[in-house]
Amino acid sequence: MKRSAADIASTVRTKQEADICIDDVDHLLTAYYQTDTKDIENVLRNKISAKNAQLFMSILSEYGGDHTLFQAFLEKLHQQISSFSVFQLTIAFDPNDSTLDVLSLWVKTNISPLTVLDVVCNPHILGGAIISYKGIYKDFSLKRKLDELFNKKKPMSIV
Amino acid sequence: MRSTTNKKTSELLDTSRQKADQIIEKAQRKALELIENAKLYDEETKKELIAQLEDARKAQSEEFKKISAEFLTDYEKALAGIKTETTADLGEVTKKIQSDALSQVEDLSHVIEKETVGAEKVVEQKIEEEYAKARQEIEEYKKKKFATIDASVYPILRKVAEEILSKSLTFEDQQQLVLDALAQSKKEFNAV
Repeated sequence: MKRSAADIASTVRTKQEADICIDDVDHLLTAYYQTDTKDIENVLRNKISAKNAQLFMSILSEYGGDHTLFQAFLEKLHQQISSFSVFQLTIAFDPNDSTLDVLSLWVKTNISPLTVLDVVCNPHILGGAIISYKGIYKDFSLKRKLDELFNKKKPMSIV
Repeated sequence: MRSTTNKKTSELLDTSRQKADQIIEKAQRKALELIENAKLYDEETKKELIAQLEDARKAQSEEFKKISAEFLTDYEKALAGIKTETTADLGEVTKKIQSDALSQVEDLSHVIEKETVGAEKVVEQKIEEEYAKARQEIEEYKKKKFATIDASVYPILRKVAEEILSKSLTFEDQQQLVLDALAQSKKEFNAV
């Protein structure tokens, strides 16, 4: 069963993954534009990330080693990933892979499938999240709640 | 005082009477001398004249005594009247002085009372003002002190709250808080 560019694009969770993927695809496409197909395998082995190299090799295999189809796949994949919106999420902890899965799934399901996360770790926000998406900024952090609480409690003279 | 005055009056009258007697006696002697020296009169006439002169002297003396007694009586009456009037006048004067003094004392009392009440009100008002001022200053001082205390306490409380939150939240708690935040943002970002 061949996986489409859309299938692969949907697995890209974060902006960092998207950037790496685009770089890797760029390397491959450059090789296609500048050299012959023999050099592609060299690029796959040496110039791109190990994770993507494995993925793209399996995709090339799924396309029966057809470089024309594979190049078209890469161009489509580049186009799709480049068009993704960035959903910036500032959180208080360093997320593990499992957490990234959960968060990415939530964003792709509830906001848009054409979205990647830009996760920023900032322990000073204490908990919750600060979200920035398409020019809208929302602070749902514990730090802000704590600020509100203390500002309400403070006398006017020191607010 | 009355007896002294009466005594002096009596002495004066006695002196007057004595002087009158002396004058009469002197006149009598002069008359006797004239009679003695008169050659025209015989002894019988002379004795008659001397007797008449003695009678006249006695009559004159009696008359004078009577007049003196009447004068003394009138004088004493007048003196008593004067005394009564003077006493009455003095009583009135005393009453007037007393009345004036009382009136003046009363006026003075009113003035003092008025001024005292006025002074009391001024003092009372001043105390009220000072009290209000002091109370306001205390309130401001309290506010400043509380603000100073709060200013030093709140950052500590804030720091403690932050420490507790950061240490007490588990990884799962943190993840759930992020999902809660995402759930809150859903409506707003869906509208974009």
